[in-house]
Amino acid sequence: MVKIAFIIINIVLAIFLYFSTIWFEEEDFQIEKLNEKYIKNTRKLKNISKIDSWLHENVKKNLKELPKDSKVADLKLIKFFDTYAKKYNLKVQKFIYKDDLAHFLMIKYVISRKSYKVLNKFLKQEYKGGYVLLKNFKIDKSTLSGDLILIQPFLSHIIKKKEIVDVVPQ
Amino acid sequence: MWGFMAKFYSISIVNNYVFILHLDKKNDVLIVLESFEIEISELALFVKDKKNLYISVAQAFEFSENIKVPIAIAKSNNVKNYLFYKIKEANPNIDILFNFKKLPKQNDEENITYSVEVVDEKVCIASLDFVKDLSSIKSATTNKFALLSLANKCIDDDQYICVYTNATIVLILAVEQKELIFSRTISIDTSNPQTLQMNIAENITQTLSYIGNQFRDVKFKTLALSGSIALDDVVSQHIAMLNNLNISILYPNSFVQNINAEESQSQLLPLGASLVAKSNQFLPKIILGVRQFNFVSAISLVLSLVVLLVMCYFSLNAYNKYSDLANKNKVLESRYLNLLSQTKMLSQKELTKYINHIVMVKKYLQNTPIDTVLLVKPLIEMDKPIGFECKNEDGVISFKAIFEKHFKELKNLYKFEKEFNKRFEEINNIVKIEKKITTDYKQLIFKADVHTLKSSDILKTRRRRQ
Repeated sequence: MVKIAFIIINIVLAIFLYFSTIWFEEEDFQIEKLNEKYIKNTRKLKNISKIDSWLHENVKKNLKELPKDSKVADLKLIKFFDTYAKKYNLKVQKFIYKDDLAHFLMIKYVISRKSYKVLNKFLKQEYKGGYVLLKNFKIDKSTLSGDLILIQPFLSHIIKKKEIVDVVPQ
Repeated sequence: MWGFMAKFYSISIVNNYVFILHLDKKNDVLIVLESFEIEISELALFVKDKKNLYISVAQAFEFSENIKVPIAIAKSNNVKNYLFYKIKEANPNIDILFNFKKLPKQNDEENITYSVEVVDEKVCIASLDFVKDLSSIKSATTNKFALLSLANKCIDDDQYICVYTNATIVLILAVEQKELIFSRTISIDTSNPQTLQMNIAENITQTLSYIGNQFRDVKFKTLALSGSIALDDVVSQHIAMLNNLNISILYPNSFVQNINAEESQSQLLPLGASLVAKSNQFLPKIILGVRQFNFVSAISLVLSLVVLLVMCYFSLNAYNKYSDLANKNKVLESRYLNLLSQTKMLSQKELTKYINHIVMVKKYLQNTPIDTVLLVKPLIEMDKPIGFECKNEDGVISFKAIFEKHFKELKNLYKFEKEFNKRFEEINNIVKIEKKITTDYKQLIFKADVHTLKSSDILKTRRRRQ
């Protein structure tokens, strides 16, 4: 009877251990899933931190100077044109046009290659609170000519999801 | 026969007396540790909690018989079944236990004669009822087989007669080629104690005479005396006078230690009981069942232990893995929560501002003609182009540069042209551009047009450089 008792105890213990092994395996599966989630989320948080510091370093300062009003944006473009129209022989090629993100003014320029100072200044010319985009240029024997676009970014709240994915560093 | 075994008890019951030896065995020698002579009423108490019992008893119902088995029945199992059928046919009302031996001499060509020893199983079980734990019985037999086993061990002759006496019991065996061919148990009338010795001698003499007549073809040479008769000179001499057989005394001194000659004669049956071969045992089915049960339960216990150990191993492994994962989980959770508390989250509104600005910069400022100028910088460094045209069409930039340089010596023109071509090829490895060289060697003027093949190539090049 002692043997039978031991056999029963052994079998009961073996069954208990079997089910405990299954329980451990199921728990392992759940914990592994949870751990993967933590690792994924931690990675995401690290990316968010990286993006945040990148935004802080590269974008934040540019946003401070952006006009909140559409009219102010237009006036800034016109002011730039008026200021440099004579100096760089500027002519309006395409008057102010806009999209969701910015206001634009396309200007034609003609600068003599003989006036080195003017040429040098033109090439270094900045547009405060916006950007100067040389759309094209042509250098011939006497002149540098072409089109430039003044870009005045404008505070907008419209988001295009597809574009977000493209621009945010991964 | 003993195999691996601890010390054991050999027990023989003769009338109402029990002869017991506590034995050990080393190198085929039996060592008597203790010897006892007790009354049968004390036996149950004596064997309580004792293991390894070798028992011989005088069965109330036992008989010998010679049975012929057709020669066609050859297999041992078939012979056994046939014999069982024959015995059962003659004794339908008893449960039988039997053992069988082929007789040494066979006279029939069509049959084989077997000597069969039969006992009643119920009587046998009843005679062993002093043992509560049947699994402790290692061997059970009748007294005559105990005596036969001992005699076979002591006597070298092939044919002999063995006589054993104890008080009023006389046991006579006739043996041929170590097999029992005849046995008789005689209980002497004790009504007149003065004639007891003479009665014993007379009964023995008559039986010897019967054996001589019955087995004429067997040449018995030895008569082995054992038990109380071996110590009684009067009876021995009387028997010797009436027979031509060589008289000898069974004395197992060659393989038994720690027992004197006189004591050994009273303990011959328990000594013999410890020597009985399996084929001479009578083990009731219930004992075999208990043995099988014990064997199976022992195997099951071992198996269950193995299963338990295996499960312990797997379970421990699973626990260790679980424990590691749980610890890892705590570390990861704390790292995540720590990082979560440290990470600054932008509001949706603020994030929108950032994204819009980035999208705008990407859209309008990614492709600038300056990139193109940088692309052909190695050529421009050699000679400023007399004409340079660059266009941005929907973000894709194309260019055309015209180079013209005057030389005084052909050697310098040659070197310049070589270097120009080398630098052009280096650029061409990055982006496919085209050149058209129209050098005027008469006037020593180097002339070349460099321009994009297709506007899309520039775009590809820029992506590669980024």
